[in-house]
Amino acid sequence: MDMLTFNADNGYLEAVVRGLKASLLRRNDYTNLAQCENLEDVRTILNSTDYAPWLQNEPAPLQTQALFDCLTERLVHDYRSVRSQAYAPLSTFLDYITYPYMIDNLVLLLMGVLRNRDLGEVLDKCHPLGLFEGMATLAVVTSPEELYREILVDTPLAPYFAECVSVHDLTEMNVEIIRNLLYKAYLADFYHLCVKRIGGTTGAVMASLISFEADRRVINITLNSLDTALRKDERVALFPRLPGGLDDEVVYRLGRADDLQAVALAMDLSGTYRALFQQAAEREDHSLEDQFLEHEMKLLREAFDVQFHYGVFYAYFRMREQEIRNLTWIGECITQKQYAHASRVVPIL
Amino acid sequence: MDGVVPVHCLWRWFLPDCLELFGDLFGQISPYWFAYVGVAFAIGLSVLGAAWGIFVTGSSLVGASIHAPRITSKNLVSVIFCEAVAIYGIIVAIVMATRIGYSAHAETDTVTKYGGYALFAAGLVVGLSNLFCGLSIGVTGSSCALADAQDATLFVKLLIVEIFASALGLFGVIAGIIISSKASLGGGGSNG
Repeated sequence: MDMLTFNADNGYLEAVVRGLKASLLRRNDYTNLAQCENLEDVRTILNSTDYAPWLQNEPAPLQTQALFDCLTERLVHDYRSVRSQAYAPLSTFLDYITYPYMIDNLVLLLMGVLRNRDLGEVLDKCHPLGLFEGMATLAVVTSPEELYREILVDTPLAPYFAECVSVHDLTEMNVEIIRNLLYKAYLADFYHLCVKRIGGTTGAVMASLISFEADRRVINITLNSLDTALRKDERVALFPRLPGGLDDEVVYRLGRADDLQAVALAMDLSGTYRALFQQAAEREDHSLEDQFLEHEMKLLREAFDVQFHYGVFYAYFRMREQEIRNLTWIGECITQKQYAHASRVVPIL
Repeated sequence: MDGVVPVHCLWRWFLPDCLELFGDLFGQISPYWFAYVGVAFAIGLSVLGAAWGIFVTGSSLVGASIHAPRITSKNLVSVIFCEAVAIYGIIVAIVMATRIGYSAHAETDTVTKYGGYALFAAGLVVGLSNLFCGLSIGVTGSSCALADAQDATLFVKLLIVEIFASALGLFGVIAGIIISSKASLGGGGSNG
């Protein structure tokens, strides 16, 4: 029934987002960009795309940071213009898209505080989509309870903090644990919103996208915790588990894995991820992270094959985010004269 | 029965005492009521289908045209297809209305009773087929607008899907005109 009622509130925005998606850079754009000698060449190529108005006011020797800021500004502009026209369930859905940025900003700030960085400097690095009230007062926080009471209680992240109360003090490792616990609660909540509260086509499309996100986090948490002081029961507690994700058996084995080989053995049990692992091992210039991103882009492209659902909004902003990463990577490679690596990007379309 | 009504006869509660059979209840309703409700269905459901189709197509068309303005004039065809559904409805409603005339003793006449039922059925046939036809054109038209915005070569192919969808309404119109052509109330229509 989605197809009969969806367009009443969301048809216009869905079509707008599909139009925006058509302006994403394609493979041949990346081939051209990888051949640039300096960032002014990059600007010339981007001037023939939708980015032209965003780059025109930048002073002549374009810096990678300035390029990144322009691209992010565009993403934020797209998000705000879509968000300001959205009706009820879609507006909530779009709000949920910004929560990962909030979590990342929170962790960035906490890390900055722990390392005694200048807070103003760290605030500049925060993603503009993840700004929340009380960010500037974060320096006074010394414990997770204070963090919750003083700052998070007024943000949408408050309900996700429930599991973090078991964390006692703020060390770098505990901040990582807080990040993963927040993500775990966020993914479960987002899944619930899409599948239970919105449901229909949106639920079907988003279920696979969010499950993939959860699976990727399970694998990454395992890989990152292999040679650390993190206990195995603590590791398992960080795993976001969603219906339709990794098998219990795989998760059990990942929870007990001691080394990379054990992870690879566990992955052998799961069809999709076994292929990704093998390709990552075979292709020298591709890390596992690249394989995950390529797989994610494939899933996001597939979300655009279905009409009348909210998944396209999620997919578009994820794709745009990946495009920013790609262009920043190309910019970095060119600035550091590593031209051979500039073609190592994850194609989106 | 001592006032106790068996469960399987519950519908008798709605039956006035003067009537024996439930079918008699229909017999008491004026054929003119059936005829005019039929006309109302024909036009009302057709317009509902057309309006629904236009908003499904139109909202996608408006959004998609922001990044691909070239699609607007071509994809107006989808909106026109939807509009055609409402036109089918109004044509059949006019044809049906011409079958209805007035004469003093017409209500008890069997020909008139037959005409009342015929126009009622014709109205439902036309109304429902046009309602679903409109929905179908709306959804395909919306997809057509989005596909055309991405790839201009897809338009003609998707237009054929829309043409088939819009033919569905025409089936209802043909059946509706045949049914209503045999109806005549109170000497209305040419063969009355």
